[in-house]
Parts: sequence; structure tokens; C-alpha cells
Amino acid sequence: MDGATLTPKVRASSSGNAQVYTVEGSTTGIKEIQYSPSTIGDDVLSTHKGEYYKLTYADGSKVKVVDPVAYRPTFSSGSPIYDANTKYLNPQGQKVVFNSSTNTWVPE
Amino acid sequence: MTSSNDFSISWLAPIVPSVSLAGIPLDVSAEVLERVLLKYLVDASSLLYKFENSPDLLLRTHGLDELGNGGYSFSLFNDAIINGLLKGTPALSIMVRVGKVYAVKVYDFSFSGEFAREFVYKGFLPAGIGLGSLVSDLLPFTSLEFDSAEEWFYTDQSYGGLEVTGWGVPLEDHPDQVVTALCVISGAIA
Repeated sequence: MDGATLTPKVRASSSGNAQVYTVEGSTTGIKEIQYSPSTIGDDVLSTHKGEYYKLTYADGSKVKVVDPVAYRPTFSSGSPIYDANTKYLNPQGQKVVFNSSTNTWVPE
Repeated sequence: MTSSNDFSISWLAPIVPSVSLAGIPLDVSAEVLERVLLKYLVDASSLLYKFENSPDLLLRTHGLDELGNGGYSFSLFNDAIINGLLKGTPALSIMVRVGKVYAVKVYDFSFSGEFAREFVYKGFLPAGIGLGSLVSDLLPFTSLEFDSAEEWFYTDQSYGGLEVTGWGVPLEDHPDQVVTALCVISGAIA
């Protein structure tokens, strides 16, 4: 990744499954990369169930690349909760929003 | 009854950080857990289980690898009453690592006011906090460290091993978020 150095962040104890790397020396402005595998069919489900990647930039903004079918948002009384300062993309790079009627992420 | 070789699994059992959830003690062996679970097997053909005061539950997944890592996941048997947006949310999960219970999780598979709320886990922490309580209700008793990767909160070491999630966002963003899942786990974050 453009000559950057990736260092894994490890927690001593957690029931989660996220794989997080601190990025140093990147020219893209990315300071952290996260991969969260799908947990569908596993004994313990992650918050979002489906697979996603999260890129965190030095300015604090984030991009989540989500599986448009399997990645589940969280909800407040049935309305999806979006992370602050975060852009959601599908694997094709299109900006997506959650459609509660179809229960999937659809291009904006 | 609770001992290292026998215990009861109850939908009303208290949540005890670092110790037990639903009456399932941490660190108990996978062999003992398997034997205890058999007491609650109602119908082997449909994998229907019923714990004390619990609804009918479906053993959705179960497995242990050659290293003794795996676990169990139970869902509401009658999932027709679960809101379509929350389908697939389990009721109870048990994580097993190296042949011992490592963590136990319960989940809220309902929205406030829905009929399905009657069937979520009903045990509480000593302060009366459980699924559906405000996450912030924990703050008089423990600090809450937000893990932005897992989107869970970790309690402090003195409170014990407890992980809590609400809406997957920091409290500063949504102070009114409610507890949607709880996990009792060995120890605390180093």
C-alpha cells in the first residue's frame, strides 16, 4: 500500500473479530484499516453480521465498504443508525444508503 | 444449583461480570456445558431447547474444532414474530475457546414495544441494568471505553469482564442509545 507500514492492533481480551491495522507513512491519508469478516453462520454474531472494510483517514473521516446484503446497520426504533462522518460504499465503489423496505443497501 | 460440574441455565439469572450469564459460568469445560445443555433439550429432531423461564429456542449453530474452539448459538424458535429488520439476531451465544466457556452473550432481537420483547433475556446486572436499558445507566458504576472497531463498550477492570453494545456508535453521538447486546467475558481488557 504505497510503501506504508501496517501494524496490527491487538486487544488482550474481546469477544469480537475485527482485524485492525495502524497505517504509517501512507500518502493516501489513511491512518487505520479494519477488516471485519462475515459472522453469518458463526456461533457469535458481530454487530453488523456481514463483512465490511473500514478506512479511517487522518482528518477523522471514514469510509465503510459494506456487503450490501449481509452488512446490517444498527437501528433506533426501526431507523438505521449511520456512523458519524462516514461514507458508505458498496464493493463497486458506489455510495449506498440503507433501504428499510428492501432490507438492503442500495446506491444513492 | 451451581458448581463446576452442574448448573442451571435460566432466562432470569443475573448478569455477573467476569463470572456468569444466564447461569452459565465462564471457564466451565465444554464437556460439562454439553451435558448441562442436554437437560434442556426438548426435541432433538428440531433442535428445540427450553431453559428455565426461557422461550422455546432453536440451536442454530454448534461446533467445536480440533482445538476446542467454537460454541453455540440459540435463536427464538418462533422467529416469525421478529421484525424483518432484526431477523437473524440470536437470543444467546456461548463462545468456547480451548475447551472452556470463554464468553456468553445475549441479544435483544426486538424493537421497543414489540411483542418479541417479551422473549428476550430478562436477567439484570446488580443495578437492574439489562437489555433495553440505557447504555449510560452503567456510567455511575463503571467507565465505558468505546471500541470503534467492534463498536462495543468495555467496562473498567474493577467492574469486571463485561462488554455492552447499543447502536454501535459512541455515547457522545447518541447518548440515548439502549443496550442491544451484553457479553460476560473472562477478565477485563488489558
